[in-house]
Amino acid sequence: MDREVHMGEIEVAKDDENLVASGIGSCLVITFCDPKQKIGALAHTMLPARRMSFEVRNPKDERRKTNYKSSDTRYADTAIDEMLKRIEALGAKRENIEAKLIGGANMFPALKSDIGEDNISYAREKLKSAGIKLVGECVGGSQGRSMEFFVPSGIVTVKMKF
Amino acid sequence: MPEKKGSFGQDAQYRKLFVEEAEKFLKELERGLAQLRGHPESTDLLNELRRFTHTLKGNASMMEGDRTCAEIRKIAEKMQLLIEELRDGKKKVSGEIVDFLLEDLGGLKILVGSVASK
Repeated sequence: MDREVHMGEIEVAKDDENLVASGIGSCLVITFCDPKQKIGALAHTMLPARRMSFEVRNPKDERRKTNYKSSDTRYADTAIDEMLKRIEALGAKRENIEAKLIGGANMFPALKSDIGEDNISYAREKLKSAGIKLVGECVGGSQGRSMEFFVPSGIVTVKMKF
Repeated sequence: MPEKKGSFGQDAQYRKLFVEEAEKFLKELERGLAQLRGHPESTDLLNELRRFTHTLKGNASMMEGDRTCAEIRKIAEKMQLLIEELRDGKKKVSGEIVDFLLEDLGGLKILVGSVASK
């Protein structure tokens, strides 16, 4: 069974479920798999981390209420913590977890700021400091991607859009 | 033409058109917001910025059935309302407000990039 994970969402799956994500531009998909327990998690993140300055801005500003950044699972930083929490609650062992990164493209090279690259380097650092093995990557470039994560085997297939 | 209203968002051809145009607006907004710091009182510039957000909002709302475009519409509308307040003198252009708009622009880049990846 396929379950679609939209931008800013996290899903966990057991046994013969597949997690899929599409429209991965500069977003970064992070997958965790415990191959021994056959448990997987997928996060479709948009940005590296909540910026500190964001917290100290005028709290009365109405605009914050509808800000697209209000949800924590949109950030690789907090999403990784949340994924670990959920996957460990299902019985996964941290030392067995294998992580993969997909996405982080620079969709509009003509525009300033490469959010994709920021996403990739941030997630790599964070995984390293959390002690999680990074076993595969399909990242960067300027093409969008879609992907499927076959949870029981941990296999990830990626389609690039040309 | 798609058979019914609401299928634009699912049609690859329309999505491509939408992305091509949106990329131009993103570029113009980026340029305009950079100028706004140096010319905070320029009504012409604010009108121009308003027009880009307005058209982007309109284009995004045509793409019914695509939830990413629905998000784009929301953010573009939010930017447009703020720019209108600046133009009408209800709010003053400040570094903080330009940062807000740039933050929203960053969000738009991510979302348009996602539509381009589908």
